[in-house]
Formats: sequence, C-alpha cells, structure tokens
Amino acid sequence: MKSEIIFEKGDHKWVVLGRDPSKKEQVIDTNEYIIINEGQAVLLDPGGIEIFPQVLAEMTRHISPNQIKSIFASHQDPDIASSLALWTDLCPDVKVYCPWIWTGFLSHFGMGNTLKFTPIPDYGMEIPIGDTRHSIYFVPAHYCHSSGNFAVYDPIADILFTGDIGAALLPPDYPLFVENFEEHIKYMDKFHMRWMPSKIALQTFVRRARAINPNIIAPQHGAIFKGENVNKFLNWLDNIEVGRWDSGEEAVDINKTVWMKWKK
Amino acid sequence: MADLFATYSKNITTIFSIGVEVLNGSRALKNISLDLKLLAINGIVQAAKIGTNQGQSLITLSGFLSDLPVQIAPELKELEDISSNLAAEITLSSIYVKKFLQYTITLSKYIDNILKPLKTSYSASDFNLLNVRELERLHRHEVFTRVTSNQLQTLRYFADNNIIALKKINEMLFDGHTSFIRARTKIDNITRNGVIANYMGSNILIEASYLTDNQRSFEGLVNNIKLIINTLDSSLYTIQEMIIKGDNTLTQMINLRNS
Repeated sequence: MKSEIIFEKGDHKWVVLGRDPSKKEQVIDTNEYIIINEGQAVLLDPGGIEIFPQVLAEMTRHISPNQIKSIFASHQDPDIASSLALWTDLCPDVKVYCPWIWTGFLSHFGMGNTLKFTPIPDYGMEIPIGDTRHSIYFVPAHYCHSSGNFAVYDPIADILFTGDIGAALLPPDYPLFVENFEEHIKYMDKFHMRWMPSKIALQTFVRRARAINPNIIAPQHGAIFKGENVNKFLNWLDNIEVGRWDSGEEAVDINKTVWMKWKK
Repeated sequence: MADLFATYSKNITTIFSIGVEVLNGSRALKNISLDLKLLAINGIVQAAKIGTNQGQSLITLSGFLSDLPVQIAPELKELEDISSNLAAEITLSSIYVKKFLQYTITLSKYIDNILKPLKTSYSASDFNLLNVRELERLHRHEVFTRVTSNQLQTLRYFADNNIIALKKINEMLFDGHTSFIRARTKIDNITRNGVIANYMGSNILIEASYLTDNQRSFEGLVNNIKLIINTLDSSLYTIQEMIIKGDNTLTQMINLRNS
C-alpha cells in the first residue's frame, strides 16, 4: 500500500492511501483518504477487511490510530465499510458516520460487536474534525450509485471526496492524478454505465458539485481530478448514459438463452 | 510466523466445522430415540396379544424398554442445547480469531515498516506475535530502542490491542472447551442408556425363546432394537470422536497463546 499527501497547508492535511501492490488480485483497488487537522483525523471510506492491515500499517506513517476521531462511510458496500468492526475495536471512541438508511445494514459488519453509528440525514450534515473549529460537509449524492450516498467537501483543502463517482478501473502504475482526461475516460465509462443507476441523480449531483466548485475531486477508486480536469470530468458526468448493463439487443438475446433455458 | 498464522487460522476453521457437525449429529439422535420408543411400544402390543404369564413378562420388559427413550430424551435435549451453544461459541470465536489475525498482520507490517530504515537484521518474523508474553515485552526489545517515541507508542498501542484481543479469544476458547467437556459427559450418559436398552433387548429375546407361536415376531423386534442401538452407539461414537478432535485442536490453540 502506498500513501501520498495530496494537500497540505499549515496543520491541515489530506492523505490518500491506495495502489496496494500486495493486495489479492481479485480485490478491487480502493483509495482511502485521511483528513488531518491539528493532529486529529477523519477517515473517509476505510475500506474492506481484506486490506485493513495494509491501510492501518500505511496510515501510521502519518498518524497514530488514537488520532482518528471520526470515520465516514459514504454507503454500504463491503469495499467501503466491511472493516468497520476492526476500526471500532482499535479506536473505541471513534464516531462513525453513515447514511441513515444503511445503519441497520452496516451493523451486519459488526463481527460480534455492536456497531454504533451517527446517521447522516438525507439532506446532509456538517461535522467538526475532532474537537477543532474546522468542519467538513456531507453532500447528498443519493443514487450515485447507492440509494443512500454522500460525498464529503472540505472547504480548507477545497477537495470534494466523491466515493464511487469518478471511479475508474486502472491498469497498474497508473498515475495518482488524471493527466489526460480524454484518455482516462475509457477507464471510467463502463464502471459508470453499470454502477450508476440514474442519469437524473448524476446530473443533480453535478449541479451540487458545480455549486461547490472544488479544486480537487477525489474518488474512492481510480485517479484524482485536479484543476481543469475537474470541470472536464463534471461535463462528462453530466452527459453520460448510465443504468445500463448491456450494450446491444444481440447481447440481450444471447443472455435470454441462459435465463430461459428451463423452458426448452 | 506465517506458519503459525496459517495453523491458527486452519485450526479455528476445523473447530468451526466440527461445531456444526456435532450440532447436526446431536439433532439426528432424536430420530433414533423416537425409533426405539416405537419399537418398544410395538413389543408391548405383540406381548399383549399373547395373553399368558410369558406375555406379561414380555410386556414388563418392553415397558422398561419404552421408558428408556423417555429417560434419555432430556439428555438428548441437553446435548442438543450444549451443541447449539458450542456452535454459537465457536462461530463467535472464529470471527474474533479472524479479526485478531488481521490485527496481527497489521502489527507485523508495522514492525517491518519501522525497522526497515534502521537497516537491522531483525524483522517481524523474529517475534511470536500470537504470544501474550512476547507482546507484553515487545516494546522493550533492544531493536525498538532505536525507533522514534511516536513509533514506540504506536507499537505499544497495537501490541496492547492484540493482547486484549488474545485474552478475549482465550476466554471464548475456554468456554468452547467447557462446552466440549459437558457434551462428552452427556454422550457418556446416553451411551449407558444404550447399553441398558441392548440388555433389555437380549432379555426380551431370551423370554421370547420360550414362546412357541410368537417367537419369530419377537426375534424380528429384538433385531430391530439391536440395530437401532448399534446406530445410536455408532452415532454417539462419531460425535464423541468429533468432540475429542475439536477439543484437542482448541487446546492446541489455547496452548499456542500461552506458550
């Protein structure tokens, strides 16, 4: 697992962890982010059980576990939050934020413990970073892709963490930041076509993102968008067709032979 | 160290499957008990048809036999409850062990991370991270005198967390060990009742041998009783073997932690 500081100003810092060369091949690569302010940290989408040791060991290059004050889970997927019980055992005082609709579902990741959540209401939330005077904001991103889904905006760093929005399935050794947006599209389009269920929801989110106008968009998989690529990305997102699992009628017919096989 | 992890992980998986098998095995015993009861009732009916003194003694013997399933029913119920608890305890233990192994891998990676810049010959594999005593004195090891105070603090944080996890696992393993012992005691009791049923069956056969007309039907009845008792014995033996294997594996895990 590698880690890199993507923003640093005074005692405010963003660290991204990911691109783990030692992870099992079948485990999808994820980016975990840590926001640190005055030595207190918020962990965004802590990741799955499989990569927990790598994430934690790499994280200690930047902070100690007892500096984590909050954990945020953008939605309910296992690559986002299946490690929650391991984190809450290690940091018992940590506050875990997640969309309200998923609290009961995420409790299934308790691994013998009772997980306590602070539910995020549908319209979003402001939370402090530890007991500092600085806040981050949970921005609604419902149906992008999960039905209860949030992005996170940090006004100090001007970074919008978008979870699966902007996710890409990348080849090894791909740069951390998107360098050529047009080239990058081919790593994102299939993911968005299949995982994002609603064009309207994406366009609504794009409007919110434009209102925020961040300098950096940081997704949970793939590469980070910065500067002019943020705008290019939002334009692309505004126009893509999503909620599709197949590309043509022919493929649908072929599949029909599978699920109607019993009728022969 | 990797071998120890693999053994620890494999052992808990073995115990987990044993817990499920013991539960299923003890549930299956209920059917055997019911079959035995039905046969004994059949014996009473057959004996009642004879209507002589010999018939009366056969009724008495079959009556004793039909009481046995009633007597072992609470034992079977308790065995099922113990097995059910055991399966639940083992499931929880296996979850905790998996959690603990993730923490241990973290600690192992962390040790390698902080030792790497020191260019020392030591690495995480030189420490038994599954051992409480070793974890307790880890931060005092000479190689860690060269790391920063922050790193030493984090090392202790991780080690302390692992000690707590290990102690928790050990408590759970001891609970499992106790349940295994209780299950063995119950099986011994049920086996004793099986021996008595077998003895009753033999007596019925001896008594029936004096009969002139109904002898063959009682022979068939006694054969069926013996068959059921053999099935019961063999099922109990299988469960007992599984319990012994499970308990040995569990003890090995407890010893590994204490060694």
